[in-house]
Amino acid sequence: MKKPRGVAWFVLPLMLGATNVHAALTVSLQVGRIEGGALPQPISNLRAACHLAGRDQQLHCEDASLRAETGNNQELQLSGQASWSPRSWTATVTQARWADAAWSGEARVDHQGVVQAELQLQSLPFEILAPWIPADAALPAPRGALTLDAAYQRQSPSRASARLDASIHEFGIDDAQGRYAAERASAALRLQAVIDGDLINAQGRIDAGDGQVYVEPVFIDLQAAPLTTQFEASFDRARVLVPRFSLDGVQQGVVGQFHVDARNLAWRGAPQVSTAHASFNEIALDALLRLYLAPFLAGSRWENLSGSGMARLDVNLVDTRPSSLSLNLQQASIATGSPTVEVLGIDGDAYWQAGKEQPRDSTLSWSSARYGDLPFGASTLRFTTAARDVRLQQPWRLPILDGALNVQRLQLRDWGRSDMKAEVAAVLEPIELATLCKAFGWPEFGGRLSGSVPGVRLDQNELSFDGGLSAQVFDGEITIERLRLLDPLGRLIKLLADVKLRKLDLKAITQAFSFGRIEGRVDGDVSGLRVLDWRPVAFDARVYSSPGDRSAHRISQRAIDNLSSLGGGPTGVLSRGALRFFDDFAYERIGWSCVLDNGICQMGGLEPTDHGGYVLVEGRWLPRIEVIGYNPRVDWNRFVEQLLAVRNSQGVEVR
Amino acid sequence: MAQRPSSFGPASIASAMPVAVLVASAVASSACVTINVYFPAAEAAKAADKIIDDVWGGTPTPAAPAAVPAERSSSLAVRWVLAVADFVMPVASAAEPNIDVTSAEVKRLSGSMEARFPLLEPLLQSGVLGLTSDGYLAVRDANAVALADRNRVRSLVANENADRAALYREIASANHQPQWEAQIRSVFAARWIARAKSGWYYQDSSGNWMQK
Repeated sequence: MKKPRGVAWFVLPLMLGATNVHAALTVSLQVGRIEGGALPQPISNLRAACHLAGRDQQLHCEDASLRAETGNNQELQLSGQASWSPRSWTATVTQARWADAAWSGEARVDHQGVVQAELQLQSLPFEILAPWIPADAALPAPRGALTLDAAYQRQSPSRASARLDASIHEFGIDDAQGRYAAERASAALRLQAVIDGDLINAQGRIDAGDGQVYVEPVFIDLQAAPLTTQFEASFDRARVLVPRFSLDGVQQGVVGQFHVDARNLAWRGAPQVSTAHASFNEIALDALLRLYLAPFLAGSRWENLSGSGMARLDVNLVDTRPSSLSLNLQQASIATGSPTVEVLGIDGDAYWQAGKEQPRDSTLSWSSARYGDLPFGASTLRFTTAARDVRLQQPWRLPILDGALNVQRLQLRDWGRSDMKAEVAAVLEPIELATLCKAFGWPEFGGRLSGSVPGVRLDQNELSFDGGLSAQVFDGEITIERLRLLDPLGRLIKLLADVKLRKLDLKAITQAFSFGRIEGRVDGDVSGLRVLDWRPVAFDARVYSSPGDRSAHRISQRAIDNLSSLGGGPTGVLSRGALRFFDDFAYERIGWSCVLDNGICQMGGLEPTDHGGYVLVEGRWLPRIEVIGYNPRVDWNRFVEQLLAVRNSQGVEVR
Repeated sequence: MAQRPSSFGPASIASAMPVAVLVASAVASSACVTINVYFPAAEAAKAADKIIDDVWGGTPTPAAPAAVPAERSSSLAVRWVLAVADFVMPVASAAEPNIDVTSAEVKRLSGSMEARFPLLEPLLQSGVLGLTSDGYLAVRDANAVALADRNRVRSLVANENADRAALYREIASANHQPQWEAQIRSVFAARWIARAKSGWYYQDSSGNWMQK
């Protein structure tokens, strides 16, 4: 059956009665059930009564009472009085209870048509509102209670004013998807509004200091970070927009003071604004990053972003789009985990603007920084950012240990897009390898690392370096060529490169690694080096005596022992018998190869032997020593462990 | 698909030629024959099961269906030439294509997922999380998580899904067939669900949550 809208259905039995007691007329009304129309739920067993009396040309309804039951078996009780004359009326509810909430109120219309109304409400449970929420709105049911004190005055049909003091307690709400929620939140709202024709001017204040709020992905514990805001706004009913809106506030422990000013706010399917400015002062970076930034970075390398220090942020919007942004940092620090990236003592200003014309110079300086175990010194960076472009404004020197990276040119275009481009020209000022080794906890060895990067290209998520890095190490040279970083910001950082070793002094190497002593020089070629999270997982490597090397080729007993034990062979063989009288032996050539794939190193030497082995050291003169490996397939991780064990051991005793 | 019709061009024309010519042209074209002519769905399912065992701590549950219809080429001529190529080429190189899941990248990713699983398992068991029909995890019932913990769960899911996305991509590229990524993902999607423990939730093809 279709129910008519806007009219209540009266369902009998309806009884009307009147008794004349003490010169007044007592009127009573009983209705069995009312439903339909604007009522969200039926009202039943309604009983109303009052004493009617005529006085001072007014009709009074005194000691009025009303009782009824509403939908969820909630009892409605009302008492008060009313008076009526042809030109004005007053109704007062002195006491009312409905759904555990106490009500009182008054409404008055005087002979000039001025309407006045007041309403007080004590602890109205939000659950009672549930039946009023349209089922198709898919709005979640709120919990908690509302206390309010409101007043309304209408001076003329076009002019009115209102005042509202409301507080909510233990407020809770959960949407079906769990994307936003509140738990035991408390807030107080004070609002004053003046209605002048189509324009409504309002100002108010909100204090929220208890409970928890979650608006995916931001979680705020209001008790830990209470929020106080004051606002002023106007609303144009005819144009359905907010010509002016301003907001000032504080979030304790997060933002010392913030101010938002917006013009012509409207909702046309999505929020729109003609201009807006927001400034956030005295931002505590640690709380800002933890509460408002890190949650957006979940699942990325930056999700553990943390910081300290103070910041100030200004944001401007034009036609709903960000037009400029400025950030001031004071003694700020940021850090993120695995591998640890840390920048300490950051000061300066950074600007961004949407238009590419005449970008403002940004300057950031910091006192120290770190990438993993590699420390960087104090540095200042001058750059501009506009739209999606970043450009270095003056050469940038980043001290690394006793050397530095000198970046002459750096330009990024279309940052964040899949086709972003990078141009870099940089030179590495020589770094003492001993200090580098110390920083990484490696065995110390001499030499210098230097290089130049004439160009860096970023294409299809692949960072490739033109030119090579070279290091003067162990009196020889190591060059890294065709260096490429795949997915540098992604899940797995993959590094590909080819490495060349030239004329490395074996004596220096074996001394640095306490491997015994081998004299002579070696060359090496490593192709297809693939490094995953800074560990090699594949390469094709060959190390061999440098062609044409005329230096002495000698190998000590201990080095032979270590070579032998690495291959799983016996140790101390040479220290028995006549050979023990020799400290070292001459050799003709040395050679080792390893093709690493899938954790297995396929080993080889100078050449294969008849018995399925491979020659690692080819002897020369007498006593002639040949070192032959027999294990062609070696577990790489075990091999590295053994190699490190050799270094850490005291070595084999040579007598 | 890895099918390369152009590789078979000369051989398919050869279908009307005498046998000798045909064999010769098959030999000539065998240099271009890619081993993985079709996506090896059955092998992919086996490979997925192996990784799922590693990540979820393998409890032997129903194995992958033995005969998953392979997406073979529909062209008769191509298939026929393939048969000839099989005959001419050394057996090893034309053997059943294999899905290799032993690359360092794949191991690294599955290791990271394995380390995360003890944190995910109770959430899967309680129905907070579910397995999606496209091979990822999703928050099914966020309201069962306290507000203060909701972002921890979000981060777990985001990291797991980033690992999974990288895993599907790395398996495809480790097998030199980057274009297989989507197929590998859909094979995994089916296997994650097939191997899910009783009581876990998963999404059916129309996106409805179902309980195992």
